[in-house]
Amino acid sequence: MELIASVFQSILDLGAAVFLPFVIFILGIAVRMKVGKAFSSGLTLGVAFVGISLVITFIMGNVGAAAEQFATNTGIQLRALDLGWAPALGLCWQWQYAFIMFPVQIGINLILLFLGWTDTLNVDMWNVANKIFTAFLVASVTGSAVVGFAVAAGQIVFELKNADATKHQLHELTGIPGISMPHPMFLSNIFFYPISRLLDFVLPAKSNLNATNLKNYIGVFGENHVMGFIIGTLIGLIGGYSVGAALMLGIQAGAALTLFPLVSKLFMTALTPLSDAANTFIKKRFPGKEIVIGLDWPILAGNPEIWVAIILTIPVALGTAMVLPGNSVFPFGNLMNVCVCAAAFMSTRGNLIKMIIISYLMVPILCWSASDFAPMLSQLALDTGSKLPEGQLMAWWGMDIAEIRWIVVSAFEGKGPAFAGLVLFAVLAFFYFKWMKKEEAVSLSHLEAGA
Amino acid sequence: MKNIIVACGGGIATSATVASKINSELESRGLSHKAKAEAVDIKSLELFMRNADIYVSITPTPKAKKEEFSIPVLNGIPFLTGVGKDEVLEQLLKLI
Repeated sequence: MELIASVFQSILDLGAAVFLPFVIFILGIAVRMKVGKAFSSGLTLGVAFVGISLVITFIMGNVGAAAEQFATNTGIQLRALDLGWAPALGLCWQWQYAFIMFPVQIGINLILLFLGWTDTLNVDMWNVANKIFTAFLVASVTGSAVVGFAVAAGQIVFELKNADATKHQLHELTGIPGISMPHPMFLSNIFFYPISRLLDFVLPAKSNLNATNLKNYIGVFGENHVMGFIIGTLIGLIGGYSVGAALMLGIQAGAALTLFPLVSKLFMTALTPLSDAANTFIKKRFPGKEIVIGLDWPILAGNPEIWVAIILTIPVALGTAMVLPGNSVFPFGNLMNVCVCAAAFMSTRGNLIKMIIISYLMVPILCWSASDFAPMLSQLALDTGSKLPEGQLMAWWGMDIAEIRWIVVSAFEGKGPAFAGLVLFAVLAFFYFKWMKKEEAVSLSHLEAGA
Repeated sequence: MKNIIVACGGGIATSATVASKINSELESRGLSHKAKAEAVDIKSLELFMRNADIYVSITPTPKAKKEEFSIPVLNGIPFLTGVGKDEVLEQLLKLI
């Protein structure tokens, strides 16, 4: 027994980039992948891990150091640089208990399907990382991975119930039958939906903006390399760099934001064959049963409203971050913040004005929650081999369900106001699911009229 | 070599999943030397389209919009749900 434990420990000690490819290889063989393919999948995951660390170290060395100069020059102390969701979730896969979340999510989903408590089968394996992140945060403040997983399990149930509760609306919005969206970001609609309804009292009826025209004008700012270049150059100039050095910093920032997706997508390349095998296994066990397939959010990405609302939030986010008391995060990598605007797209039924208002209201919460979580994320980055400049932290501004995670994690830290937040969440969640029943009935009647 | 692009919100998760599925279908048919799918960021779609031969979309694309593109557009959602996957795959194989 001791021998087995010590063998396991020495494999774990090799680090996630060596250990997890091994796990993927074994799992691949277990689901009858060809040996060569399983080997290749496993290695791809290791390559992704090393790639993420490489780009984090690169960007923190350039833009992070410039942000330091920026702080010295302006007196604005923003010591935590936001690198966005790709590296944050990429790091999550390297948390020591991360891969246990796969069987947890699939297991809970299966049990709920068997009991008839959900009709959604979540096939979105990337966002298992979003549950890992929740578990990681809770485990960091409580010291208990078990508590972390318990909270993540709650999140999984909420996601599935919300996916069920909005599937007809999604069908109406996208025109695709048989799908739902168990992505955590849509849980923010527990807050956004009542705000959207309240705005009906304030805004003139039928007020909206033409998103397609706006997107043609400002869409270019949303491209990773363009936005990275602009923000990077500005940081350099304000940080007192020469024009030439500031422009070079801009190019480096653009390079980093372009490279993050290139390395992060390797995770999915490695994991897809496994998740395919898992899904085939599950579907075989539910023959003839009506199952709705739970997908990630990008089926909405063709709607220009989302991108316009995001881009119009960028100046507000940067301005707020500079002056907001209690904020230590420099929004950068996640300025193209989908999590608020794509969720608000659902709860406002694509009303651009409402989406922008909700997005602006969320900016301070995104700043404060990211500031609180930056030390934990930075520790994870350091533990898994990235290098951060002295005194600088890595952050994720604009994470999914920032408000809910902030409330829950703060409650575990014993902060008083967080308990009021929990009560508010519970009350709104109760009403939200009632309201969704009405919205679903409306969408269903539209769909039936159209069919 | 035909270049197939699959776009999603960040070019990371959904698009990489679909690209990976297309590539393994191509491989199992011995066609991996004739075409390859790649995940790209929808925000830079126009940039990537210049070097692509086929666009697999995972956002519903209206017919009028499809005609604006210079290359054939296929519906990628069946690769995620499994419903209608064979039809799309057949369309794709005809193009390469």
